[in-house]
Amino acid sequence: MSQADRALTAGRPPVPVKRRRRRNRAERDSLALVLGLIRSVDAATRQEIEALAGLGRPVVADRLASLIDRGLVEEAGLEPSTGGRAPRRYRFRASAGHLLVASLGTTTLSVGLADLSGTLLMEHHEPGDITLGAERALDRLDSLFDWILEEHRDVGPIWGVGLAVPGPVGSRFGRLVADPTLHLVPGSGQHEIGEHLAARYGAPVWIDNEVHMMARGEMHAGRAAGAGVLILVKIGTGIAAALCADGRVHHGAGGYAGDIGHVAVEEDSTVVCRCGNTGCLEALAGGAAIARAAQAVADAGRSPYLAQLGREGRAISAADVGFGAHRGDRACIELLTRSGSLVGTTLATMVNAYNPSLVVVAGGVAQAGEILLASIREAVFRRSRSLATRDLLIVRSELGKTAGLIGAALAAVDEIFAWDYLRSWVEVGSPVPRADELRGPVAALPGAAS
Amino acid sequence: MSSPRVAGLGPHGEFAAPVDELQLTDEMAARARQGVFRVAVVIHTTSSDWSRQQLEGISQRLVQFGAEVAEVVDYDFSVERQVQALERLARQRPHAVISIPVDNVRTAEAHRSVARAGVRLVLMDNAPIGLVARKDYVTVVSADNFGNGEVAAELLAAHVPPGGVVGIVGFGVGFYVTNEREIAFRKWLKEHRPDVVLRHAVFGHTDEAGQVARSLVEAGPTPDGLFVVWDVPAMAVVRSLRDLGRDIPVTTIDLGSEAAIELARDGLIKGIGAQQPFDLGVAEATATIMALVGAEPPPWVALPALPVTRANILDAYTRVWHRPVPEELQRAFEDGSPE
Repeated sequence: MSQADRALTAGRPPVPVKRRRRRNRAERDSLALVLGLIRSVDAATRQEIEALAGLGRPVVADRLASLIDRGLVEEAGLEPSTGGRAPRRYRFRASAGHLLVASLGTTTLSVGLADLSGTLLMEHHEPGDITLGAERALDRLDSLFDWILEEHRDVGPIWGVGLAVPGPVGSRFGRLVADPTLHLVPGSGQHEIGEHLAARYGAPVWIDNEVHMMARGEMHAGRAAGAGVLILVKIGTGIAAALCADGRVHHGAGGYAGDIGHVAVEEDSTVVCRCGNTGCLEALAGGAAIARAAQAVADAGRSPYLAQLGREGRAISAADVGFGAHRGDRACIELLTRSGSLVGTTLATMVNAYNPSLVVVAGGVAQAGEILLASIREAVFRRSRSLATRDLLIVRSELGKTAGLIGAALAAVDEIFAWDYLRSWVEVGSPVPRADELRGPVAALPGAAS
Repeated sequence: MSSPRVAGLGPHGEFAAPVDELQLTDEMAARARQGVFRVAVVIHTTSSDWSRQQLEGISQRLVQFGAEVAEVVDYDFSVERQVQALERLARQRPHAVISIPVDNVRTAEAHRSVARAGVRLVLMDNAPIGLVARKDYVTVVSADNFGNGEVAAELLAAHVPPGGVVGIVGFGVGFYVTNEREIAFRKWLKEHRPDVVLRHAVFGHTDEAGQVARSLVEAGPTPDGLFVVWDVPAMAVVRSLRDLGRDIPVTTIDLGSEAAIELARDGLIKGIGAQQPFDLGVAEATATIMALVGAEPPPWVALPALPVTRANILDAYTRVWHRPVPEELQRAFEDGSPE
């Protein structure tokens, strides 16, 4: 359902169109500058904005009035008086627009609704199977997004969609590029996910690798908040990492940075990875590999805990191995220790090369607990130079899959308020057209996926 | 339909830990008894069978470790009352608080204030937005609400003809638990019964559910089946359908007494996805004691959905309620026909 359709079916009256004088380029720039400054601080007085922007009082007063008129800025009380009239504070209005966010994992699907500060207002996670095809995954995503919009008719317009996908994304936002690992999303190399969502929800769409999105989320609201240089490693069905410095994710020249799941860790291995090579890290240490090995262990009668699950007719998962290890099942402990050791050995190389202060271990397998984490730590500290590990912390994610949703929201927010894009829409007060301005099918918008 | 694994995921996408992951060693139990812990429970209502069972499970389990329920706050679905209660408890600082958040956004800060006061916080059903396990709260203990939604869909689908109409009577308040049920109900039907046409109506308070269902039925097309998101409003819907003289199958969630009797007598309720509230209460109390003696429970502990039909109602009742089948239920089952 398009934004126009939703507005109409919600029975809202059309927004009155105010005819405003079209501002010249310099005026638009100063409008964007004032908005950007207010967003960068919790709240600011007009005098502070004048000083920071280097703009005169009449200009700042005019721009503030314009931004309030457009619903982008609101008053936030008074500063304490220092003798004269108490100055009024202004802040960005995070509820001016909202974002649909989602994270498509290999075996899970997460969705949420966020405001323009990147704060989630709701989130939902459910099992999924992306190997069933991109169209099916997208169909499910549509159903969930539609449901969210139906349940939150009171929120403002959707300003953007942030989507995390399980695989490398090219350096250009909004388009998946052909890559051997993209069979995680069958056919998605050519499937225009972004265009589909942009047309359906009438808003720009930004897509990135889920690990990169998780790292953004962790830096904003998780264990990585305030960390200077860090690595996030996600151990789920597959394995991947994000390299981050000074609050930014390093994408690499083509967007592939951190794709460590296909690093060869055993030259003589005969285990074939989904990329076609043998001996890849994720083929030996990822969640699917752990589950496969666990099934073999159960079949061989080497694990009482896993054998019991088998007798109950249950497919064994990596999570089960974690629970077994927690109960002291020796075979489960060995499986996790081996996985952790392989991941840790690969991480040690990265720690030597990148010298992070923090490693955040995330993903479904990370939920297995301290045994996995301990073996990762042991391998990293054993195989890294002591200078690189002197102040290194290796911790487990607290946010879980929520990190990917927060990251997806922040990615969209960053792009919506990026200087060039902001200047293109700030005068009309929104990056998306109003319902009464839309005619016929919603086209992909400037800056949207294409 | 056998007892499945937990189908849903946790509030942060966690895989469910089985309830027997919550274990106390003898040494932990001994330390707990020395602590003489006082626990407050903050709950949305004390008048439902679900709540009474939860409270009973919590109390009975705490007593085993020399701990006690020091206070039960019934905030009657009110965000403001829950916030006030949590803020007061943050000041009074019992050893632990067990709370069910009524609104994931508006009660978040109040829940966080409890954690910041050094009070161990165990959550029922879901986590407020922005709070994370091990930092802000100990664990979330819940039923598999997603799985129960699927169960309700599957049980209702058996009564809906090809191309039939199904009405969802949902909760108009953004309540995480009912959201999960409804999402799963819709998902199951879309995947397994794409022929079914869905209609949707919501109530804001359980008192309104009967009228909401009545309007849905009278507006047409007449639903071939109704899903109501929990048992108390489901029984209001059943009464409303009886008034209308409409024999429309209903499925719901929670094995409350009234709904159990309606199911047993082969009435309008044809199936229930049951939680096990007594066991949930026991798990919450165990997790609380674990946290108070320094252990770390898994971030999400869940019990699987329990599908209940007339065929297994008596066994299911005993399993859920931990007590013998009452005479009234037994009689309803033996009568086997609606009034």
